[in-house]
Amino acid sequence: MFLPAVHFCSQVTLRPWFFDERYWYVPLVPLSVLTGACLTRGGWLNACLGAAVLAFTLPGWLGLCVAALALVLAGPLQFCRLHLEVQRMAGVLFAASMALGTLKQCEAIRLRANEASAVHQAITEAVHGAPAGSPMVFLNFSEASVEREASFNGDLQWLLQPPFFREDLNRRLFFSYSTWDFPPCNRFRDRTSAALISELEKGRAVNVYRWNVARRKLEFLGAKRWPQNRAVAPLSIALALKRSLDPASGRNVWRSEALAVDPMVYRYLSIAMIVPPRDLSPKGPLVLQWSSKRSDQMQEVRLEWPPQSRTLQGEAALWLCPGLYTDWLMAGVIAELIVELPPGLEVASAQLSSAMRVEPARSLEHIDHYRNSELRFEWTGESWWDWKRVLVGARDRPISRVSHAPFSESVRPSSDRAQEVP
Amino acid sequence: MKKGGLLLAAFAVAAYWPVLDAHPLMDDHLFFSWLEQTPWKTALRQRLTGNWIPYFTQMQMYRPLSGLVQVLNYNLFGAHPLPHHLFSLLLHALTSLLAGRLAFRLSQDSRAGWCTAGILLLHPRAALGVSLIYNFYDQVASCLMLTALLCLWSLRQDDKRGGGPLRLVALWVCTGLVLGVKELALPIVAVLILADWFWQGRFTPRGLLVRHAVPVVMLGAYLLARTNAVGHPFRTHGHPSAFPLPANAELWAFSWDLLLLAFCAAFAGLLSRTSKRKGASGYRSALDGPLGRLHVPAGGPFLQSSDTAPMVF
Repeated sequence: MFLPAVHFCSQVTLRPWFFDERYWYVPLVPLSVLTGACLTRGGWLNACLGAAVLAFTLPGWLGLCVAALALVLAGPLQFCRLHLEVQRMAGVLFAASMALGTLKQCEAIRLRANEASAVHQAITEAVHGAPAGSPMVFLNFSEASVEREASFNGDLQWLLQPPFFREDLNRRLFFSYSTWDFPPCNRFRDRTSAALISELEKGRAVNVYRWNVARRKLEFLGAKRWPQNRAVAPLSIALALKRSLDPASGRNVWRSEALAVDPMVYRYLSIAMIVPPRDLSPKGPLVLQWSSKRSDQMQEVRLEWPPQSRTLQGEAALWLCPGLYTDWLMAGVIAELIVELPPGLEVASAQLSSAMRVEPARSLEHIDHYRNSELRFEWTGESWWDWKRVLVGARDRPISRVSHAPFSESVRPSSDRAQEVP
Repeated sequence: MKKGGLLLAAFAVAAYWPVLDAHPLMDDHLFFSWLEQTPWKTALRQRLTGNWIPYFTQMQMYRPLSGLVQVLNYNLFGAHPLPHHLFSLLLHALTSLLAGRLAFRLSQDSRAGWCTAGILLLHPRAALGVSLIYNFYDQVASCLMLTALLCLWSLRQDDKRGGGPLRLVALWVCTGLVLGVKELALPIVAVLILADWFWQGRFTPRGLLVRHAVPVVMLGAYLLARTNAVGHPFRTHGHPSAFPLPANAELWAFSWDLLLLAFCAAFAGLLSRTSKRKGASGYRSALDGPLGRLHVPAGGPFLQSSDTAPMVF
């Protein structure tokens, strides 16, 4: 009787996501047999055991109420000695309460299904409205904004294929979204940006849409084409970052407002930080937020602080590649940029660049960031760190001006290189 | 009886009504997409020789019978969710019926059968397992495991009447099939042997060989086929880039399963010792002791020698 239940425990230990309710089904079978037999056999211990199983397996308050009722019926009232009609009535009420609990669960599942259906409907409408075969970009279309009920849970790309659509839309649609990926890498957010840049470089027009969270619709913003007369600007823009410390939340936020940055040109952000003289073990995430007129709300990239425990002091330099994300690349004009660092760290300077220099890139330490860094599960981004570099005079650099740093050669993110592997 | 069954069925339909035509969720998208784009002959071949999740070899699962049912269902029903959901719900109802019947057989109490069937049929925690279209294998596995246990129970009764070849074949078929449904069914072979062991009076090496040799061979055949298909008889996370597991996860899982086996062996040994001390008729009184009071209903009635079971609980 306990076999599936204990085996279930072992599987939970092996895979933490076994707590997903769908995996409860098989253990429920022997537990139901045990509960049914205990509750009808009579005796205090049997009643307690049956009620305990119900309290443990039924969700929330319903579980506690039904378990208490079962305990009273099977224990002090001695269910097996009650009149047959009373037993039947108690059984019907018990079944009705269980059915209500199941109905509630099924309604929650229906909400998830409706969410998936709404996404399907919205994409169908957008695809029907766009020229056949044209690339389409969805802004603000992320796992957090689209599937709050986890209706796809990493499987959105399969919705974009037959039988849900006549053609495979995965090569036409571009958005920053977490999806399961193929071996050898579990990488998600960089899946489409390289292909999108390739489309833009071919001079193709891209239809840009914005996901409206409230209406659950895709709103057409217009067609975007890469200017043919563009030139790669070998420039970097030094950012004027103002500190905005919120004592209540303890957030260490640095803000740069009134910007007018073309995100297609400036895809890299470098930050020089002043590191306090103490251990730099993880104390908070590194968050990069930006806003533009095109995207309705602040977009966010949240990177876990590097998992390596380091004892440093002085200064450190960090490079990020927000151009990796579709929401940055197609934002139009970046109007505001916010950097949040773990408490205790200070920003000495920051600049946006069109490329990383080759020499620093080779000497930097590359770190992959995961949503669950301990399990290295769900890749969310990457960064390059110079831990030992002392940025002499960094704080004396002028701000809010364009500096002419010699960025002549581009070093692509490792994610782009990974995509070259067939 | 009929009224009770109809009432439970009505409750189940009412409770599951919201999801009967619900849009597919999570992995259902992947399987729909793969089945749509794969010719049925190729799909059948892949199901028999390949990984359960076609595009996702990080997790190595070999489920040939589930795969066959899946291909058959998709070719019958297409991408319409309603018949798929109905199929899952019917399987769930059948599982509940079999669980109720097992509870009745074990306890010799029709109320236990009704109570068990009702609890499982209307259990809120079962809702997600039933509502996901391609989670049907859990219901199929439960049905087959319960049928195997019921066949074993019936075989014990037939021992007195001189055998039951049909039930023996049914036991073998159900055990063989369930191995191809989902990996969690692998311990069923050990469970059947342990259950047979509880029937102390009829536990003979010959009987053991007759009843369980074929399932053990089929388990070996499954493990061999699984090794050929996905590369390893037990490991499900072979690829280094698969979901990384927690520290010492496999050791913990092994420890839990070891604990399970130790518990089962201790429980069986205790019952065996008690039965020898008190004789076959003494099971009831022995099980009414502290151990029996804790968990008599499930294990104890295995030992009872009489069966006056009607067809429905």
